[in-house]
Amino acid sequence: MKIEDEYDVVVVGAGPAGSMAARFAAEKAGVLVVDKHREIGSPKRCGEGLGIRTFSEFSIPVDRRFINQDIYGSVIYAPNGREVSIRYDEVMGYIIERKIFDKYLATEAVRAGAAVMAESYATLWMEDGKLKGIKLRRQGEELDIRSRIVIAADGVESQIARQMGLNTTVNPYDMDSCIEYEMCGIDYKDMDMLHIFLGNKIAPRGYVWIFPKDDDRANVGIGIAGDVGETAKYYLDKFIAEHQGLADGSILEVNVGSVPVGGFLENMVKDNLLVVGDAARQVNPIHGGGISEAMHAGRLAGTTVAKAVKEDNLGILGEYNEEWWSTKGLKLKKVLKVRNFTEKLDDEDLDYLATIWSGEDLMEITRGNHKTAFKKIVKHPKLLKWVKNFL
Amino acid sequence: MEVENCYGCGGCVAVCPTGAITIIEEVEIDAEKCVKCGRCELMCPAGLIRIDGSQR
Repeated sequence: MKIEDEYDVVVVGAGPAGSMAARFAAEKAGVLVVDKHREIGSPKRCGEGLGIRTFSEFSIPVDRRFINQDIYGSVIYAPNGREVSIRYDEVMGYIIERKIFDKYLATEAVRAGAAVMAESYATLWMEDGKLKGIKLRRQGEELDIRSRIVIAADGVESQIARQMGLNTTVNPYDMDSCIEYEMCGIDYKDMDMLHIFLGNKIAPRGYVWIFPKDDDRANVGIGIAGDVGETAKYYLDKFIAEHQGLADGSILEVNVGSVPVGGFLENMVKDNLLVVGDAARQVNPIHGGGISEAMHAGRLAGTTVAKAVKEDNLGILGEYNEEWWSTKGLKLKKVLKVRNFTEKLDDEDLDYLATIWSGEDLMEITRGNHKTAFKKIVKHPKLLKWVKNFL
Repeated sequence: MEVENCYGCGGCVAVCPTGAITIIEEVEIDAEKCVKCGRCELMCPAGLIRIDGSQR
């Protein structure tokens, strides 16, 4: 593939946000996507759960090449072991294979007309405070590529937005520190359900997950608050050692990730730069999932860019910001409010909530609809005081 | 300041207040920009970062 000297749009990062942005921008603009990794989709930093709704919202085929397991619901374990579960009659989501899924999304961007180049590290090209494009380093070569618009989809470690002068620094308190093993040879019940373990001794201000990829294989991972003294690895190894059925399992893959769960990048457009996905901290603050959020943001940024190029009016790029904060972003802000409540809970509180909340209540909370669940807190003076702010 | 066997998750980069850390293939910490606040040590899920003389 020959890289041109100039594009309408350069997208930095070929995760779900970047590939979606590229695919929709390519409808009206010349688009190049670059990714620093040697392989798109790898290494993954993800539990790989994706709800059925996302498949329909983006017309993603139920393609077995990137689907490992059908999931029918979730089991949430309170610190005392009490289970709150919800099982549907029909499939409610899948455990996907990110390595293949991300390549599928990048391929869709190429089919729409974009060009994609892996193993290419980009920095922002600025001159006299003006965005000129990107400087690309690939296989020992350095290239200057002009572009009218740059989309920063370069993940949690985003440098592009920072180079544009946006403050993207996150406090460790607002980050989840995660590690995950893909394990096989494990023996656990209900391998068609998500398993979520709560408790401040198990995973301080976070949770342990078992996301099954087969009947004897699963992603077993943990996310804990980023300002806890011990490491995520310490807590995960402890959990596995204490759980029969996991302790003897083999480890096929080790993945590590950091998830910005405690707040979003408010202003995601500066001059002709747009920020999407983890780079914009677009993550569900309750469960830390971000694939769907990234795809929504990518599509929105991509369509806005296509319109701006078609109308030759880059002044409208700010519409991406406005539209996000009046739709998906607004929902996520509600979920963040609930997080501000849940992160205060001690184990006793969690045990209590497991006696009054149903699986349905918990599902609704992760979607930002907390009122029904919060109204059930009537006999607990301390929690009642806290939830008053939310009703 | 070397970080061995880094997984490249990027958490340290996100929490660094001065933009001293970059990850291309390996972690690079710019000693001139580093203010030794220790946030990256705290954040690393595998506990791989050690900054000499950090405030932690």
